[in-house]
Amino acid sequence: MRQGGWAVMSKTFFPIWQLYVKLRLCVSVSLLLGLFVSAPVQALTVFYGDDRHPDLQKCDQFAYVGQQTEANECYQRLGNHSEVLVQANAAAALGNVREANRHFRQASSDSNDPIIKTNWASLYLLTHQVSDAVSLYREALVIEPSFLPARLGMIEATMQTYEGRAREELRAILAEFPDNVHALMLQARIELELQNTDVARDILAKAKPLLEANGLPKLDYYTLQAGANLLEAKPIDSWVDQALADNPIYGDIYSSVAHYYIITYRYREAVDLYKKAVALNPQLAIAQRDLGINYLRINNVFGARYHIRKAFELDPFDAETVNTLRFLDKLDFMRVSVVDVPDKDNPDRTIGRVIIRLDREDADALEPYVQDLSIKAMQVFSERYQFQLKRPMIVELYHDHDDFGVRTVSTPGIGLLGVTFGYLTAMDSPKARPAGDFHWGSTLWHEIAHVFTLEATNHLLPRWFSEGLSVYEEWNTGPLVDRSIPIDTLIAIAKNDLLPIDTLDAGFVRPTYNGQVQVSYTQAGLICDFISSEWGHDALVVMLNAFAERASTSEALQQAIGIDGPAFDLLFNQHIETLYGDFSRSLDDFQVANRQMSRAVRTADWVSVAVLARNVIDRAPERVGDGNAYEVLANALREQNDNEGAVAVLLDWHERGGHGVDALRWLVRQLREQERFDEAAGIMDSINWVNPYVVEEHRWLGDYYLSKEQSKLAVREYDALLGLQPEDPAEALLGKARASLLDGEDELARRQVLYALEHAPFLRSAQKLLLEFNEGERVD
Amino acid sequence: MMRSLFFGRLQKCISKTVWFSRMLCSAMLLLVSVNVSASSTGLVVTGLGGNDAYAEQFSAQGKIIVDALRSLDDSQAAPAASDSNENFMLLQAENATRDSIVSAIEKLGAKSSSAFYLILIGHGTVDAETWRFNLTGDDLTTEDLVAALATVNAEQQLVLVGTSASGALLDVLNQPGRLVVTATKSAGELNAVRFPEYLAKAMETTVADTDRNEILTLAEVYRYTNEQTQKYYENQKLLASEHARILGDSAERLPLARLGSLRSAKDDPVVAELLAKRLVLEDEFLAIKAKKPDMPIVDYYEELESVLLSIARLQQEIDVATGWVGSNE
Repeated sequence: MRQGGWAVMSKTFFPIWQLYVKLRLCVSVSLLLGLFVSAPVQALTVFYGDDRHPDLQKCDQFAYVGQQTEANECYQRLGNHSEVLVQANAAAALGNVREANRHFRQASSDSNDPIIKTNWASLYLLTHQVSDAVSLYREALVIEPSFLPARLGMIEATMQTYEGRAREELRAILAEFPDNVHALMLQARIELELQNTDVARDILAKAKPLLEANGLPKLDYYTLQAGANLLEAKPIDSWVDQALADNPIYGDIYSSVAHYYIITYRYREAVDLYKKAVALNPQLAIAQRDLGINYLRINNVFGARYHIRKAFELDPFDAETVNTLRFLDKLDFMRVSVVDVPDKDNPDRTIGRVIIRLDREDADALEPYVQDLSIKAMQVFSERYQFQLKRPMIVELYHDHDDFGVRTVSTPGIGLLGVTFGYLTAMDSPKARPAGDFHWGSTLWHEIAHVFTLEATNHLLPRWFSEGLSVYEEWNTGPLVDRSIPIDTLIAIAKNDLLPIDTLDAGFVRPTYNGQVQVSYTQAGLICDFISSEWGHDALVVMLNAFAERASTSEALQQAIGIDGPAFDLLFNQHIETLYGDFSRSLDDFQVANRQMSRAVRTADWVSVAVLARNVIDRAPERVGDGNAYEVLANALREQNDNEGAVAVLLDWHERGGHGVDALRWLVRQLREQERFDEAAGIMDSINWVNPYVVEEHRWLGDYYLSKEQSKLAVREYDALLGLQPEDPAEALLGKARASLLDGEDELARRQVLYALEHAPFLRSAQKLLLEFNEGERVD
Repeated sequence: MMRSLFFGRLQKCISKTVWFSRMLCSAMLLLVSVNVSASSTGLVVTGLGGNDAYAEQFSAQGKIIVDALRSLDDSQAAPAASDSNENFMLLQAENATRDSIVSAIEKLGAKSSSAFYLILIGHGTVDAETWRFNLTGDDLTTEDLVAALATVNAEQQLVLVGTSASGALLDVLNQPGRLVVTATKSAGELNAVRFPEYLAKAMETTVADTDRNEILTLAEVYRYTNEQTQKYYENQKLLASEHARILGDSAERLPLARLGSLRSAKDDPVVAELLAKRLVLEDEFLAIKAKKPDMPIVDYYEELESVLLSIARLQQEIDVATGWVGSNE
């Protein structure tokens, strides 16, 4: 039912293949030297090609059945083989990577045989150096363009980077060599990756007799069958038993299958399988690594550290292991705070707990806001989805984007903003990006919505529904009301490129055009919004519960609103046509109007700018993001000394979700000058969800809330201000003292007055308060 | 004993030529009392603007700064804020020439004052030979400055150069007893600087007076000005083209202005007497703060509260004497 992909919830709509290209580059660079030193213990490799020397094949047979001692003795005997290539492959099988590399180099210098380059490339693949492997496969293909082992090797390498072209290339090879068992096994893996279990099983059915006829082990076959079972929520025991009957130490039957839990976001179950893998064969470095990484995803930091260290001992040159180990050291220095969330209607009752982990550098500034939003989110989502979290929710914000990358995919340089692994959600802090770059409050809201929808269904909901609900919640309950539809989505609507609801997951995991991931996010959000508006929010809850019971999308729709996917598509498309049909077909005119406006701005013709900007706003009033016409219009009015008009325009823009910090700051200044303090406070508060690092805003808001006797909000602002380590903290400390007084906590207030005077001993208002405390007079 | 130990540590902290460890130092800077009753002289010069906008800015900034400095002048020779004040001179426009500046430095420097201030605001340039302060007629060069400043007798000296390329002067003007502040870190920062704009703001208002004692020190002014300058570039999303530097010891002990009621009552002997008492209490306060790392926290705040109460009571007396009103804060 699910058509998952990568196990993350991206907020940035970053094309997934680009992510993996980045991963690949990073890994290969950081491991450049690894080949010459390390002897990693890797997963068992089955050699399907007929190009392997018979002497090696004899040794391979021992390895296939788990007789590792015999296999190693056999490979060792080949150390003096007459053929250098055999020596190289034997050394590789023994894990003597440096020696293998030396032999391959020597063999390569003596001969132009493409098999040498191909085998050498496999050594690089084994040691995680994909780009170097690709280079060697290319060299082999230059020597012999149709050399099948190199073509297949190239596919294996590109599969590691999840590039979509592997599938197409494999189809071409199988059209040419339909009975090539290696190609069939690779194709089955790709189809399973895409969760096409029926297709994968058909391929495996075809491969099985070929494996038997060629006397090849069926270990990969069992693994893939088990993977298909897992994806279909069937027991895997029979496949495991068969694999272990053939090879009693074949730990890959667990660790490789665990991968299919990972791609369907089921980290706890994946951990269970990895544990079995390392219990069966503790020498499996990758299983140790993946167990550690996934322990980390479920917030078992102790377990993570233990297994990552084990992985490091086995393979110290695996970039993911090294990155994660370094990250764990940093994790120790993050500040952890715990908040118990009260029931909104019954404050004495606790509905859940939030554990917040922040970098110490910006913990003080962010913590009050993260706490505030996490509490609200838990209250809102518990009620809206009629689901209470069963464990503490962990919220992590990283001020270094690369730390966030390692935390989520073990590699820096990723193009994501936020990731949710069930109860744990991690994201960039606003400091990780240029000031005002993204609405971090909205991102956090989106991610926390994932926590609820994933856990309410035990991660069984399809990707589109999880993303759709998060976008829908951003629009309807989040701290930012902006719901402007991206231009790419409007183009897709105009071109009729929206996917049917039953196959919408494909838009996330195997996009067919640039920007389709972003389009799919928006479409999913629109679908949820449409269902809610037509059948009520409860219909979404019914669907959520249906997915928890393993319903398909059509089945869930039937249960919730009484129609199946195709019938829903008809209604949804009509709805979209009504909302966006005309506009999507007149996008060219809209863009012409935008260009005219921009030209007028360049010539500083402010009268024309104002007219043209109003025209653009009339055409698409919901477009409030980057390049919006509201800010242009406000600027044009300011240039004509019409500040009143500019204020009105920006208030309208802000109301619709506009959140550009510079324009809002100007607006706040104007409102304060006009003594419209309540409006100014609301806008200033919203700025902090984009850029929380401005001292003046926190100071003013703190004083404002204090004047309104809203002590908790005042303290939030003063705490955030103090977190920014201002040169002059005394006023904020005094503000906290006054807030404590409002709450009747005189002793705390007295201490805070002392803190204030410790910084500014001549601060008269603090002195006055101190004197009043000592004279026993209660301060008004 | 306690205080001298403390100052030794503090001076070590600041004399690292530049404030790379700003936070560490700034925490300690607050722990210093300042005596404003000593005699002092100063010269503020604004150079050529090059265009009307800069000319107006420099002129206004110069006036603000010299007015602030004059609040330190205890002499009765001329009204403190008057342009005819002989202890704190302002040279601007056509009056600001190479010769007039050198002459003024020599004249003021020859007086027996305890502190001497030289503040230059304008455009600076460098060539292969020297740094130049752009003036009507011949520019003032590094060599001119070095020679003129050599005649200054005051124990405490401040040379603050708020111009482009002023970092070129950092090392060459460095002398024992002299604080050097430049708007740029080197000769290579050649764009017009914003440092003087925030310097003027710091000296015109109470924003930089973090301990609220109504005495602005160079440390407070520098900290505020530097921070605001860097914030300007951050807010404008521009690469900062100026990085101020400070060189020398005891910036926290060099007053730059009296503020508020203290300023208006500076000639009042009653206020002077109260201020002398306050100085003693401030020293006591600082001594307790210096002991903080070695004291149980409860004892520390008990002792602190006691002296803070004394300060608060005394401050009430001072405020009555000076006519301080709440709005000053």
